[in-house]
Amino acid sequence: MVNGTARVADGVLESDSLLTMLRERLDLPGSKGACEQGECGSCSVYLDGVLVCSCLVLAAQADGHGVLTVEGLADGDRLDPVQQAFIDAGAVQCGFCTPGLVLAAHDLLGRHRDPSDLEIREALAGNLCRCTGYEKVLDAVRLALARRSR
Amino acid sequence: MTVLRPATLAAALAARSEHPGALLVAGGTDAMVAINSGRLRAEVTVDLTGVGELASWSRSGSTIRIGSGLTYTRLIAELGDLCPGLAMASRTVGSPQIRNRGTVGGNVATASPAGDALPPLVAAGAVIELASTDGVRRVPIGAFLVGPKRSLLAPNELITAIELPVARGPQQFSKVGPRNAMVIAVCSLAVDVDVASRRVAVAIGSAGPTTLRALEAEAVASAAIDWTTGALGDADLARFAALVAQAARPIDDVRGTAAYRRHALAVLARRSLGWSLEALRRAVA
Amino acid sequence: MTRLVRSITEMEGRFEEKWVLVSDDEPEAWASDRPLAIVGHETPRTTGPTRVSGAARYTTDVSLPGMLHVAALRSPLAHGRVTGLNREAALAVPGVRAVLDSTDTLSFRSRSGPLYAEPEHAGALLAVVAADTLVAARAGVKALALTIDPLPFVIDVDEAFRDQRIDGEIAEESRGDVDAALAGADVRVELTVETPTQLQTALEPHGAVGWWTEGELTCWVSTQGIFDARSELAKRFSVAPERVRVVADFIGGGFGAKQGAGVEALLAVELSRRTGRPVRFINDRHGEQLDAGSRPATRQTVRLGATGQGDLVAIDSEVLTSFGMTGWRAVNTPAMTLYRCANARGVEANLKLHLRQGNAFRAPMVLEGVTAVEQAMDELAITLGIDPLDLRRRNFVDVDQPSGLPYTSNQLLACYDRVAELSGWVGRDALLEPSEDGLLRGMGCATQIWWGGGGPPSHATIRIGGDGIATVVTGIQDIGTGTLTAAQMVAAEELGLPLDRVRVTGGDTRPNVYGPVAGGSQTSPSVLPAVRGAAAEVKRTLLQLAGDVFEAAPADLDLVNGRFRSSDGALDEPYTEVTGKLGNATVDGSGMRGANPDGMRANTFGCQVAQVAVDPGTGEVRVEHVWAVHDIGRVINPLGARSQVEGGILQGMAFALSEEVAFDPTTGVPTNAWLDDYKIPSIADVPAMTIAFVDVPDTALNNVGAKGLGEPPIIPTPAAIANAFRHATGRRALALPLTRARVVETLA
Repeated sequence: MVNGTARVADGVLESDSLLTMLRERLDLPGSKGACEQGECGSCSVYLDGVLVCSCLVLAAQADGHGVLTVEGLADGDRLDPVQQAFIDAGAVQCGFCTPGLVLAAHDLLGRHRDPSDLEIREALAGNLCRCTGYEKVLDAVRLALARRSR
Repeated sequence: MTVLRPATLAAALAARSEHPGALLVAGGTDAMVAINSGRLRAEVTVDLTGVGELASWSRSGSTIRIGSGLTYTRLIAELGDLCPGLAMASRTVGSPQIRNRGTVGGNVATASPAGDALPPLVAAGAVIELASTDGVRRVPIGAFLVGPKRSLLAPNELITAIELPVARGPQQFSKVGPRNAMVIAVCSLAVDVDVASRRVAVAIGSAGPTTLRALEAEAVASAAIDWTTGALGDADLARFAALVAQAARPIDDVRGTAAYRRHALAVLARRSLGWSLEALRRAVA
Repeated sequence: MTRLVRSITEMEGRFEEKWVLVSDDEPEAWASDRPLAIVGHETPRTTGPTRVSGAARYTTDVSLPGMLHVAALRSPLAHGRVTGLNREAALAVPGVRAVLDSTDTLSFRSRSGPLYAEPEHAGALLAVVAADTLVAARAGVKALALTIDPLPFVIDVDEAFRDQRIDGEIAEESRGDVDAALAGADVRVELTVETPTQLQTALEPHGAVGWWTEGELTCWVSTQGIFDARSELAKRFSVAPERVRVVADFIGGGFGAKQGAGVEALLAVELSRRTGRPVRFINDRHGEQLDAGSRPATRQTVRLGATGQGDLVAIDSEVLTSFGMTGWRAVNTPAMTLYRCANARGVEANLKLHLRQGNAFRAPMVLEGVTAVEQAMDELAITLGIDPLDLRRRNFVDVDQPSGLPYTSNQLLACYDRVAELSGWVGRDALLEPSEDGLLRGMGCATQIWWGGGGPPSHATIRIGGDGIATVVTGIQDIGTGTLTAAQMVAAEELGLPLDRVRVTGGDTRPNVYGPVAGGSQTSPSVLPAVRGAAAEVKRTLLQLAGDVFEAAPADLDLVNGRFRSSDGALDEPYTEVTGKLGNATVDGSGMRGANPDGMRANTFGCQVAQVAVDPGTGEVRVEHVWAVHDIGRVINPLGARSQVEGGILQGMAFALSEEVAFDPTTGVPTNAWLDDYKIPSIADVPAMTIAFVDVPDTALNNVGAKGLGEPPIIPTPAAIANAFRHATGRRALALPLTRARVVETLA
């Protein structure tokens, strides 16, 4: 199941990662590959509701499990509040890291009612961004939290 | 490459027996890095994530049995009180994504001198449970880790569990890395204080071919601590730190120099034992 | 009226006179005190929804039917000679379609490479394999079974200098009599510092998809310059530029390293031409970190002489740069321009080393120069017992000394005042009191100088049709800076339309509307005036049409926030009353960047203060807070501008604290060319940041009053941190970055 739909991928090689399968076989290139070693978080997806680096999951390991990618986060045309907060706070520059960061922030908000600054930093430490300096990313998470508590 | 996906431990052992030397993948946080870069190509891969028996922990008296497939995230959430040193070390592993996937068993199996979970396991005197279709054996972790990325794991065996005692006193883990998160240790250190038997154990990571105990430092500290109050003189603490540094067998590499590692280990040793004894003094008072 | 005039253009300090097209109808600069409705107000990025939803397509995401994938074979040695490549074995791997190495005659011309038989740096391309899948291409590379003989290599600065391995001439520039002035100075300081090799590390690696069809060439390139890429492809493959289309809808960062077409595009196109299939060549991370360029390491010696009151009388700077086999020279720019000084000399040599040739990385060379000069200034202030900021104020200069020309604007003194106020600079010695956490704290400052005035040529067109949507067409590419959003804002402001009535495009050469390369902090000051010119033309026409529709005098009408209004307020109608009558007709306008003012130099300025906390035990340095105040003329979008500054500060911090390519001295091969050991900062490392702008429009420079902002914020950060470390510990590390080990050594 990918983004709520049962998918069968053709041409998957046994050594393919979940990331490769999503990008190259299922036409879901929203998840990005920038290091292929779990360092950058650009490939973050949910696997059975758990945030993982899809480059570190063997495609076969996802067989029979539920995958949610950045493409599945919005409800139709309505962006998820975390996505909207990233836009409004100016947390998006080149945007290559954004899908991963959005998912990591979404995961944090799902786990925590009111995370501290330190907890936000811990939760997003696995998602590298080379453009923003992260200040606006912190702003985006705080904005999403503030809107939720209203 | 063929991927086998056993759903039970028996099936996993059978697969391992049938394909000795097959690549074992659980969280994939080490193995997939090697596969992605093309450094590792296995004919047969055994995916262990479907084996439910491996992904749990249990307590029997004063012993904790941690299934090799338990993720760091669960360990931190569920074992923070029983195994605080190991939980502290687990918190410094990678990122949430890595901790959600990575397993203690994988850390032990990789046997990297930089493995974050290893110093607290070594300091606590953990025992590694190994299984094959021939049966089960238990090996103390100190003996199991024989060198950099080398262990006693036989080609037909799986690591099924890690056993360690419930904390017998304050524990600490500290680590120096080049950045504030998501770092491979330049050096790391675990302190394990056993109040009842009046013993301090200390293990150091990234400071030798494998995780090392600093036995002489342990002996000095154990003898010098006033166990009724938790007091330790500055001179003894300094001597303890110096002996920890002496126990290291570091090398110069891309992450740090041998000289720096020795220096930093002394600092970590002094601070970690200091914090542990502070906790002990609070407990006593 | 449109005319061709001779004008001076500038790119990263390289000046050139060329013919440029200018318009007599260019609007006057917005007056400094004129209130603006959109420009100057925080505006979220126009492409935000596309980017956050994963719908943005980067070059690495382009996937075409039948597309081949490329894997590269790279040199495992710093210097070697290829003795064997088994091409037959590679071609025999199922799925492999083509192999190229140095023995192939390529259809494009190249002075050297891009495939080498005698590689001169680790990671140099030796061969490429194109196959149906990346896995097959990698198997093909393995099957090549490279054998290579090692050749002697030099990567050590001292060894290279001893052997006088110098690229070309040693550059020397000077004014006055430096030796005499130094000898006669009341106070002298001399400082030798080293700066590290830093990698750009854009998250999207270099890459391209090339598709050669019937003599037409389409190429998706992750590039900072689509028109440069088009020229390069057209020239190299001998195709008319009109038959080459370069597309870069989204670019995952560049930071200077993604210039022109790049070797990936050249080889993808070559392979496409040979196989008849579209070909994708994306660097893997290791290839990217080995062979996509770097900010080269430097060793710099700065001598300063001053009067007892702190007036500089001599600046003497010597620079050795580890550029690779060749490079350019600009490290001495700050020494020659930053402070008023009658006697100044800069000597600069590039060492020929077996390293990947350095290339542009955000404020190339100037960051390095500022890092040395500003540390020397700090030492001078300490020696003189003068407040370091006061020393800088005292030596402020308002002309470009090498040329003698005045600046179009210079708010540096205001930057000093504001950053001092924000950071509590005067009370900084209170940080030296012992603290409970045992950390040593201190505060340091540094000045920024950079060009960033932009210039012609840069063009834009705007078309508005019956639907009332104004579409701005530019030839720029948004590498993450937000320039397209700024263009949308300027167009909406000038047109008098709400922001959501304006769409903006870029990243495609097909409309043939030229935009400059995203480099040198030139995009905004180059393209935004052109956008405003185009908008002004459209608006003139719309007012004319409104006069027709409403039977009013066009001169009496204005278009404000989407409504036509007469000066007496009697008429107040939505603009769609006019555009709605266009049917299939459109109103078009075109604009172009005017010439730069004669006899002036355009520069950006700024000052940053950093506060650090040093753990003397582990050697960890934490940057706790950075205050940044910059003069970039008019701030178009404060939201985007602050983010630019924050990102620059973090990259500068990493240069000062953690980023450094490490080499195995026995092989000359980088040992940390991955992201696990080459540490770019994570969110856990981020200091508090306070960002401000002087925000005085540079009305002499261009019609929007904006200067550039890409480079400026990274420039002063490393020196400010190094000076804060000096303040905190009383010691100066003679090399950056301030790694744990280096700090412990420095404090020992």
